[in-house]
Amino acid sequence: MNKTDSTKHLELVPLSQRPHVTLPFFKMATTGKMLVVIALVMLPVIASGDKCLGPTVAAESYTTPEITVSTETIFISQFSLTCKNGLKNINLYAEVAGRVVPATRTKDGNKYQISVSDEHKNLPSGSYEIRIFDEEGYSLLRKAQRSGESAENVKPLVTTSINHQGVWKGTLIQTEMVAALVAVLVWWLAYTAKSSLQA
Amino acid sequence: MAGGKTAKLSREEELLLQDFSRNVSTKSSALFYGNALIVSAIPIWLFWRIHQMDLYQSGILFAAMSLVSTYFVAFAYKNVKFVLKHKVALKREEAVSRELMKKLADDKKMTKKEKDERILWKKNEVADYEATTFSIFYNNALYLVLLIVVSFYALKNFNPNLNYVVSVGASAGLLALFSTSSK
Repeated sequence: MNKTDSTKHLELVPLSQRPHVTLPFFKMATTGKMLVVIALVMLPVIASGDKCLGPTVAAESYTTPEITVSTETIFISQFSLTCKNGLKNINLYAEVAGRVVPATRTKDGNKYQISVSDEHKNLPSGSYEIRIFDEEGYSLLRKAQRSGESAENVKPLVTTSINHQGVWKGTLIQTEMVAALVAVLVWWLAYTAKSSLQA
Repeated sequence: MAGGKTAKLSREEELLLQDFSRNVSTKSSALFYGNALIVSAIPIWLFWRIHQMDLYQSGILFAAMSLVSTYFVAFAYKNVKFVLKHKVALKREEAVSRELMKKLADDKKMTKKEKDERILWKKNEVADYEATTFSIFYNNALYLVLLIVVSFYALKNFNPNLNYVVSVGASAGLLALFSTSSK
């Protein structure tokens, strides 16, 4: 066995007399040490890249206006998320009206869209709060749901709201019925006048 | 009868004949056909916009049915006018004669016969006009009721072309039929 110079001095020394094992760090060459220090310093910077700091959201929304052409009520919210630390392309989830949906994202990573649909009676008119969660928040939310705890306590990344005006249920009386009734009324007046003339 | 009187009587006779004949004057005829054409053109707009029939594709159909409808509606106008004219004349006779007598009372030169003739002529004219306009009003109202009921309720689920032909044809036909009642 080839013995290197560094370990030669340990060869004949008994166990009890061997020096204490030191951290591998101190055994490394200088360049190695520098790299580790740099990595440690850079860690907070790299780690903070995962979390959106100081989020602001700008949202546009659409809700179903009438039931005559829609079978279900739908809420669509399109929003853009701006992080103070310039983070993009993160996965977001939204909770609205008791439903949790993932947000689809555009290619440039800034615009998101969520949509919720249900029967007309299940989504009445009013203002709904949209709680937006990132990955971390979402997993906390799921955990809370699984353990039966209230999901209200999980703090969202940011919130926005959507206002649903309510759906128009269509006219009370059909237009042709109104037209027919008016026409019949006019004819009836003419008929009575004619009868009185012929009397 | 004496010659002088014959002329006046024949004018009276003329008036009476006019009264009892179903023929209308040219002016009345023009009025009737004009109105009938307008009323028959209304369903075109209805079917174009609501039943979504293309104007150019169905152009020939629209034109043909409008002409048919115009004929029947004018026919109905004439009949109803004729029936009404006498009744109207009876009702308006008193008012017309009173008005004319008041107007001609100061005129001593006119003989009573001439005054009577004038009253008769005026009565005829008034009755004619009132019967014409009432006939147009009544027939238009009935035509529109028939059209709306037939095209929106009876033929709701049919092909638009068929809907147009049958509803216009039926409305005009029924109108003509109802007008021939003697009451």
